[in-house]
Amino acid sequence: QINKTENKKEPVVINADKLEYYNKEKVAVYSGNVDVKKGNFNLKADTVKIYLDEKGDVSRIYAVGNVYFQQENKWGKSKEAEYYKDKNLIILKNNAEVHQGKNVVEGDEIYYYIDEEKAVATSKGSRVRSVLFPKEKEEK
Amino acid sequence: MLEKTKKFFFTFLVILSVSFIFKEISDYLDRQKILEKIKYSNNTLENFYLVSKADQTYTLTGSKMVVKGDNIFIENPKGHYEGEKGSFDLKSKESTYHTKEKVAKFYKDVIFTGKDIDIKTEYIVIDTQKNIVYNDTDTLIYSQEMTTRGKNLFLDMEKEFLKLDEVNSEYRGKNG
Repeated sequence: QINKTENKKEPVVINADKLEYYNKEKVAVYSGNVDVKKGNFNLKADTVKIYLDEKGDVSRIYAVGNVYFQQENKWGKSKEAEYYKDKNLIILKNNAEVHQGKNVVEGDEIYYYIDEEKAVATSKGSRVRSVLFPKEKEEK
Repeated sequence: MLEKTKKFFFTFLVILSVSFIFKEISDYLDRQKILEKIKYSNNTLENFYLVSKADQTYTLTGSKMVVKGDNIFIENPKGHYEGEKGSFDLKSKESTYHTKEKVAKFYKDVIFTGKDIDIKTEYIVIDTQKNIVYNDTDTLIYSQEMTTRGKNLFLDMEKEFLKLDEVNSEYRGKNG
């Protein structure tokens, strides 16, 4: 169990079939089976764009195509996702779902706060859908 | 008579000091063995030092340069470039320059050192006309904040665009 402060210090490790780096825009585009890891947080997608700040730090990540993320017993998926390092926040967009055990939250957009492990779902067209199962009482 | 003697003595003094200076210079050259190092025989130049100065400066040193037809082979090449876009150094064990195609190949322990990025590989090709760099082997790119491994490097120096296949990157950030 990696704790939150350790998680923040962890490097961002990325594996992919191809990297294209645009120095003028300071953008690195990873494509093909992209796998991003940061501590206990893992994100997979077809394409991932890494935006670097002037110090060379990762400031924002944009993922598109078969986006899937996992953090310990929670996982989620969507068509697109954006990750903001300063807030340690991932926004799942376009058929977004977040699951924890049997519980599930669905919506057009889901804001998942990694440190607080909290999900906030919003919807424009259809309604937000949540299925939450009460914890089974332990038999006496 | 005295005047003549004075003139003679003054001229003698000048000749003496000039010859002393030349003696010092030749002793210095002997001590440094600079002249002995530079050898030129059957198209081979040893321990050369090339400088090209314009709005950008190139220097190239090497232990041996052999000219064979349109190709120039260099052992232990060390190149340094300085221009408006910054400076970089490039060295390897061997290099070949194809004068017709204006293509330079560097191989064996190739190390490129830029302002804030280094590249290590076993082989790269530099097309000096198209301003592109490429290879088809493993390549390591690293800076203080990031390390990336991959293969099939392609670098377009004008567009400042880089491509690499089968990559593994680690972004540590400033406090990494």
